[in-house]
Amino acid sequence: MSNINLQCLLGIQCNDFVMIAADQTNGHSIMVMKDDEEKIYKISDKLVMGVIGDSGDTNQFAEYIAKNIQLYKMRNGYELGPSAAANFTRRNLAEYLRSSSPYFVNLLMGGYDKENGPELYFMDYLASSMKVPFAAHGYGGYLSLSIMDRYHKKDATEEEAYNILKKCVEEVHRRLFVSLPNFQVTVVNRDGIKTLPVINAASLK
Amino acid sequence: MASERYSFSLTTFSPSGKLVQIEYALAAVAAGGTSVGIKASNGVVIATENKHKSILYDEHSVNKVEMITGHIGMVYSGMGPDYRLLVTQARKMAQQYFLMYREPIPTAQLVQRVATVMQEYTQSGGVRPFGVSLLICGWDGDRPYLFQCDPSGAYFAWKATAMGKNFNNGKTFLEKRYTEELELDDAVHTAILTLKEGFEGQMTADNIEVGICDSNGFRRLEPAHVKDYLANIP
Repeated sequence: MSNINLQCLLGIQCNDFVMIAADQTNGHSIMVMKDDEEKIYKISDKLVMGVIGDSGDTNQFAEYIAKNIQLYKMRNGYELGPSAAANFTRRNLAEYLRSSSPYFVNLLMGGYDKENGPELYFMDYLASSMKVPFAAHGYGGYLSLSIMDRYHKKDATEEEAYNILKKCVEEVHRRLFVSLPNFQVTVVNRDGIKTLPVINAASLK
Repeated sequence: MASERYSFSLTTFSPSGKLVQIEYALAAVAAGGTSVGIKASNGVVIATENKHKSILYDEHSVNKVEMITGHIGMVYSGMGPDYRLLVTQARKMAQQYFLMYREPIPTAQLVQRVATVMQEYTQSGGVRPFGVSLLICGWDGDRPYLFQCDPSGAYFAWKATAMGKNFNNGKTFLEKRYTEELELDDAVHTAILTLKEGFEGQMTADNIEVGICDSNGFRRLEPAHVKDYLANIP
């Protein structure tokens, strides 16, 4: 049975940046295969995508999108903005949905647009797409969304947003029956993409 | 279709290295009605003469200046029917881009796609090159664009240019008149003056067409509006 809901993606957008966190567990049936999997992919200089879902689909889809975004850059000399890239991604999901090989992935796309600032897009395997101030995928998301509702503010600093994510991971550790020990965190701002320290049991003490 | 039987291209090299069919296509363009385009600091104007062979023609029913998307317009010199096809294809390509990316197609990319189509017709079986040169004007990324597409598939970005009959005189005229500080109103005025240079007979709002493109998008000017500009011409 699919473990898409046992994985977790969290995302927050504020005035100056977008921050995305993803669990680092890769499980096959009852076995934990990996606890340091990187599920947040770099799509272009100021665009990242966190992808969860069936193993194989996630990697394949993320790389397919990333390479097509790069192809656009090679052809035209400039990179696609976040909203155009998000729409391109959604269209691919939609077209493959009604084929014999749909992509079973949920994703959060975060990017920084020169004109419109930071943007966070929530997309799921049914090819829905929405620009949102914060979002989550997976069972972990049910526990986290209300925390983000409570503490999110537009003018939060990167540190404040990181702490909100820490609160969410704390709750996932406390109340989710699945063990998701490590969370990878990436932030995108006007200067580009930055990796923040992994959130794990030790860092939450 | 003929191209099923013709797997070879009809556009072939001459011993001197020229593609004669393209040369002939350019001749068809040079024999067509004059059209001009001028890029101003805050927009682009394209204009063309649209003379009818008889007073029985129903003016303004069929237009040479056509909108491709809200922010891109096009005009031509050469063969009208060939132009129609390119307008249809350009419109479709622009919508396909929007469907994929949900953003208006950048002018340069539309021009590239149209030019690719024109080039294909110089290297495919059983077809001839298009007998038109296109002037494509657009506004995106907060700046104006003016491009020309030739039957060969070559495309050029212009500050100002003329095509069709008397294009050399038109270009010389523009070289003298063009400045970077030109505003859209002045550019329309200059474009109409350029058309007038080679115009046979009396120029009226009913035998020329003008289109402008600025931050508000592309639109073809109403004959009444064109009349206002003509009133200022000596």
